[in-house]
Amino acid sequence: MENVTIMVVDDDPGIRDSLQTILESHQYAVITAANRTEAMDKIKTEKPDLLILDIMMSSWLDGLDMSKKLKKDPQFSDMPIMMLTGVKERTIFDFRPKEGGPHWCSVDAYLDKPVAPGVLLAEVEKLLSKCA
Amino acid sequence: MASDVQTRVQEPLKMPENAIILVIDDEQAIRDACCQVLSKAGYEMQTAEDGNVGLEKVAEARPDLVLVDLKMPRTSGMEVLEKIAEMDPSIICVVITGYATIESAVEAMKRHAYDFLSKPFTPDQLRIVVKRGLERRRLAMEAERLRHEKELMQKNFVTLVSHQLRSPLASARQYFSVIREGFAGDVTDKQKQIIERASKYLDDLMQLISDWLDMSRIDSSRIAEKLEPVALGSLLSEVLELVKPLAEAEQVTLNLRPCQGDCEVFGDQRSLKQAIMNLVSNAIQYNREGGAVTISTRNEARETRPAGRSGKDEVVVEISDTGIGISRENLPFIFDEFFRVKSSETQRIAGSGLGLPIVKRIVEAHNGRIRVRSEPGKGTTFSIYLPRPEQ
Repeated sequence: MENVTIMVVDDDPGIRDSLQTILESHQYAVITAANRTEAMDKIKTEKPDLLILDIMMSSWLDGLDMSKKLKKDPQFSDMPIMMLTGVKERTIFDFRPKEGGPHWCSVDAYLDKPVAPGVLLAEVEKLLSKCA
Repeated sequence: MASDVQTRVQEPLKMPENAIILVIDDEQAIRDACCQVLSKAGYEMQTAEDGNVGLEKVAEARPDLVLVDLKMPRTSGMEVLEKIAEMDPSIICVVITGYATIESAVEAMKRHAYDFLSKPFTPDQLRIVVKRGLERRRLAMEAERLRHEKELMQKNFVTLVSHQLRSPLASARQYFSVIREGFAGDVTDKQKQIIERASKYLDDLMQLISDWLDMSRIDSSRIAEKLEPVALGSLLSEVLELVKPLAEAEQVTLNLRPCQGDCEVFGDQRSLKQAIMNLVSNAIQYNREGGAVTISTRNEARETRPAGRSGKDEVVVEISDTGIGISRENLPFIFDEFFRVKSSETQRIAGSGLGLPIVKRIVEAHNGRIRVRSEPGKGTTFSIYLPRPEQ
């Protein structure tokens, strides 16, 4: 995958590190950010092709809120976003939000943490081909 | 709602630089002067020529600070102050007056005014008063935000702890997956096997934490307070959507047989979803390869219903599997906390022994019942009986 840049945003270094290893083994360029501010700065300068985003970072639903803002921004609305959650987190917050519901946000994919490398790579490929 | 995780995301605080300031004064000259001085300082300015227009603008623009002339025709400044305080007490009001007396000052302060400017005033005086007022508002909002955050922390303590416990496990698990699948170099079969075993311990622990969290969240009296008509059809499709990956991984087919017409129960959407989700994922996991899980719903008359009530006042949700079944000896204990059937077949399945107790608690909080029929080697059927909403 030449010239494809994927950004991994997670406050947990272990997740950033392991996803980076998986993605780089498939020739994706990977940039990481540990929080929302760092992520927003890097998104603007590096313009990644895909964003992998943790749902709960420093505060509740940081990730979801961030993706809402990005999807509303015409400059970034085309950038696919993959949301990382725990299954339980998802049910607690009632994700798979209903369209128009309180937490609705048109994230392109939801994956549970930890994610099987094969599933991650397949999903990444799917999202990238959709947006190519 | 106290057990619900509050998920409102705080908007970032408005900084005083782009604060909105409203000037309510019948004198055009004062309005113009204020606008000139303050827009230069970077504030967004709005004006109103009398109290009524001013109040409309307060409601509409939600200014951070309002400069109010005390002496105006029609609605007086004092009245405006009072109304603003009713609308939003966090808005800072500064009074402008040509006849600054102690009495009027006291009156204005009583009505929530924060500060005073007596006519004529210099641009510097205006700037200082506005800046001080906005600083005060910023601090008040910050304090409010912290108070709110603390409240959320307390409310969400269990969820938070569980998240904190699970996160490092998820990371460790993620690292294992990297090694296991050869992303960090070649792995021998033996190493792979060991990593798989280690991962399973982590999975079990993660599941246990989740189940504890669920268990702690079930508060029967709180569920009873939240009962409302819930459409089972959409709830079941949501559950199916969530368990689909699991079913695919286990090669189990999912069948849904909903009842005719609308099937409504009197329940709490979230906990019902959880209960049905637990039963369906059990049915998938304790199944055989190529097996099936059938979820059906039907209306049924309550067996012991008070005289004169019409029938069809209960809904039965049935979850059947084609799995290993539960032996007669084990059946009485399956709803006990931490009980797990120990056999060679169940060994590979991760579980905390809390899934079914959680279901039972939820169903009972709904004034419902749960029944189980099982035939070892053939399969198990769980039936939950839930009340329908009052007609």
